[in-house]
Amino acid sequence: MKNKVLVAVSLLIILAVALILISIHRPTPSVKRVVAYAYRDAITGIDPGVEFDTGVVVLNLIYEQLLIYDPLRDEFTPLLAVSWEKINDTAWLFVLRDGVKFQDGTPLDAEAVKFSIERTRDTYGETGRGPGYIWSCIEEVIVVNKTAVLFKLSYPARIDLIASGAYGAFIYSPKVVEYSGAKSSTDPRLEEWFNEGNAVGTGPYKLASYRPESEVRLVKNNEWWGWRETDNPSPPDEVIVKIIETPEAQESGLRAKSIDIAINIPRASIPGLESQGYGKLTMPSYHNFILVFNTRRHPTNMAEVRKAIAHAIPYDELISTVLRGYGRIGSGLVPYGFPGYVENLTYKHDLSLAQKLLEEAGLAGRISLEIVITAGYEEEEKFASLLKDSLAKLGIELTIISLPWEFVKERGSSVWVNPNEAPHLIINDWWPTYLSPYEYYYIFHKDDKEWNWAGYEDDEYSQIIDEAFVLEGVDWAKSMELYTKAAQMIFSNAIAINLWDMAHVYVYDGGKLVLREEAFNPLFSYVIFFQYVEVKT
Amino acid sequence: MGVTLSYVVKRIIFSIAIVLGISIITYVFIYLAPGDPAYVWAGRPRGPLASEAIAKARVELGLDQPIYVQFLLHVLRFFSGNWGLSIRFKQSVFSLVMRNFASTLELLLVSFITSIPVGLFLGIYSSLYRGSRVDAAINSLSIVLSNTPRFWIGLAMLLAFTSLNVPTYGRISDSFRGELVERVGLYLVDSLLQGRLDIFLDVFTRIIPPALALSLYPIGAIARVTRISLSEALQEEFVREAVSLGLPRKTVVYGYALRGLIPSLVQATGLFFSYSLIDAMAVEYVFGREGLGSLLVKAIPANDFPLITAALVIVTLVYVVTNTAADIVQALVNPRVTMQ
Repeated sequence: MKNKVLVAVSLLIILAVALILISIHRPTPSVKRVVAYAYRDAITGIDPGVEFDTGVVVLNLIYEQLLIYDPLRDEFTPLLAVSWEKINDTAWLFVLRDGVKFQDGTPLDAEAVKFSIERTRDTYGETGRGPGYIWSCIEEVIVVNKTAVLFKLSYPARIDLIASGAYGAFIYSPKVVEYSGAKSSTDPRLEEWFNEGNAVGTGPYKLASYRPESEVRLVKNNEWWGWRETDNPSPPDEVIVKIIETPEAQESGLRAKSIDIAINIPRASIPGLESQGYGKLTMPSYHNFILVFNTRRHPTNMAEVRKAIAHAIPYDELISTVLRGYGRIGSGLVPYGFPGYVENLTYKHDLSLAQKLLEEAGLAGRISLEIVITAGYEEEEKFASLLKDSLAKLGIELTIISLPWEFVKERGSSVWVNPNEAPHLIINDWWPTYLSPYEYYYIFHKDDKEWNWAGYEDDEYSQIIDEAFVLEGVDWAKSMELYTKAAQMIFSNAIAINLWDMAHVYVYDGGKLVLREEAFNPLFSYVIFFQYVEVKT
Repeated sequence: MGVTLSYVVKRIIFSIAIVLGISIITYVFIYLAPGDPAYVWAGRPRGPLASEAIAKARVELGLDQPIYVQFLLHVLRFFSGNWGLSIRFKQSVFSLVMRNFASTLELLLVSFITSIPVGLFLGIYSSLYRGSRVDAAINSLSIVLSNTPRFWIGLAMLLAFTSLNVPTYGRISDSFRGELVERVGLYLVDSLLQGRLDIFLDVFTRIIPPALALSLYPIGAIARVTRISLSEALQEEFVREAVSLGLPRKTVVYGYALRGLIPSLVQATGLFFSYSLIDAMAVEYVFGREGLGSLLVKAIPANDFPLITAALVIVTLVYVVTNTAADIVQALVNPRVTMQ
């Protein structure tokens, strides 16, 4: 009996000690200012010349471009270049900032600019990988002297805009070839070296550890040239980008104080969090959601049917129910505020007109359609339900197929291979590489067999946007006119509808952080420039 | 000694066959699944050369080869120790799997350190007082514990601890993340090796709630197995004889009846450990911890066959190794059992 009591008492003591430890323990307040940012997707790579996806949230803290463009203020800010000049249509001169050092201590010079840009361009040219096509206009980067480079172009282009791109415009040390043991700048060994967790940029943060599946840790680069200019007395000493895929998990992490800023909090939870003292910052973005019609499959191969569906969308409810106010109805193909945006290219909700259009198409009876959306995207899921209800009133049965993004892409591009197996409707979300409308329009170009999910093949449209792209470098206004014409063609044929331009909502610990507006730029989707984030002390 | 060399050899051959089988099944499933790993490997390309990039990636991954050639290459690479790069993360598959496995393993170990003594205690107590109200209560409790969804329990615990302002989300505080020197990948061990009690306490605090959530099933299951087995053992002839010879009850229970149960308890616990690996994947997801579960969830949509195969092989190996170890312990403890 005595032993039993002893065992029971021992167990109770162990349990009590564990519970006491749990209840009294708090992580020792650190002198370091650590900020954790919850991001929804795993990082796909951190090679500054090749990465073309989620790695951008990390790369923009480690590396810098020559310039940065703020579309909200319509102004350029010099980063690694202090001045730039268009010599003529095919020549631009950039003068570099003096005294800038890479994170390995080597100085920034014109050779590094030449190396970075040519590697990014050549990698694309040789493999088709990465964002290097933005530099396809470059014939040669000429080193004028240690701090000046001349871009010689093969055709006119806006180098100032390209050089301030969100992807592919980073400048990095040529020493990376030596560090990685690569034989040349385009040797795949170099990309592997970057993705193993190595980086040599000039930016405000240095890579400390890289776990693309779970978190990336960055530490403050005290040698960064720009600290004085940011006028931020308390920037984070450490930034941790945490990969938390579901909005619910992000909310749990925020409430548990394990996350300081989250980008994908369930919309319905935001008011509650605000009332509990959490901060909210809503920023416009150039991230839009485009409903694409399969123009090669019956019945969406008929313009009347596509227009009927367009008129069946309850746009007012879309804003209130789907977006909960965090976004705006799209118009044309390009988001609001972006060059090439065209006003009033929006369909109106009108079920009578939709019914009439269906009758004109000889399809007043029962129709079955399918829509493919991306699983886990709250807005897409709500939109699909809303559309389903609305189409049901027209006798159209809509089947919603929710798939992971990779599968969505495969279903979309299958329109070229097997159009009758590709969905009638599919949602594609898009954001820019740099400030050119061409990419938004190119996804309906006849030659784009990967992203033209409409299967739209119109020579005239393709010629117009190609011409507009070339004119960007010589006659910007004329170029925009042509893009407008292209937008009208897409709209009048109802090939695709820009459903909404997304606003990005950052919910954060208002007791700990001050998020300055400079920390965000709509050209840089989901990127937070942490040098402009203040940590309250 | 009840373990023979032929048994060990047989087990190794069996393990290789299982691993091979898992590799084949995994590869076939990924092959048949929708999605294109070449698109992911190419870095989700855009622009005029996007199709070309994907075609090149297909060649690099060997996806242009007939399925049997693809599979053969995959298996040869895998068994030669070249696990390659992850298609989604572009990092070494071996590193990815090992660092996430360490996290899962740590959670499992802490969970079983708690659940084995508690389960045994409840089972023995229940058996000794069979038919009593305490027995009924323990029996009901163990049924409830072993049948409650761990995901749900985990979520409830997370909410409860969060509302008490106890840090439970994540594996380690962000303040300590940069200070911990990882040596073996088990943070409890690493923090002690580093002599950092503050980090140890933080990691310990964070691991207790998920470990408790995870331990419910083994506690309930061990208690039930112990109760049933001990009750049967107490009816055995040798136990009755021992009682009739006037040996003290404690000696009879702990010296004879319970000792005879060790092999079957070890084997059952090994099985519960293997089953709990799947639960651990769900629980770690709830608590925002790294681990094999969340790694697999991220690898599957990208058809990341090198990573998925490797992660599943590790899970299989844990299963095989645990059960083999349990068999060997059984043979060592019980001379009547021979492993041939």
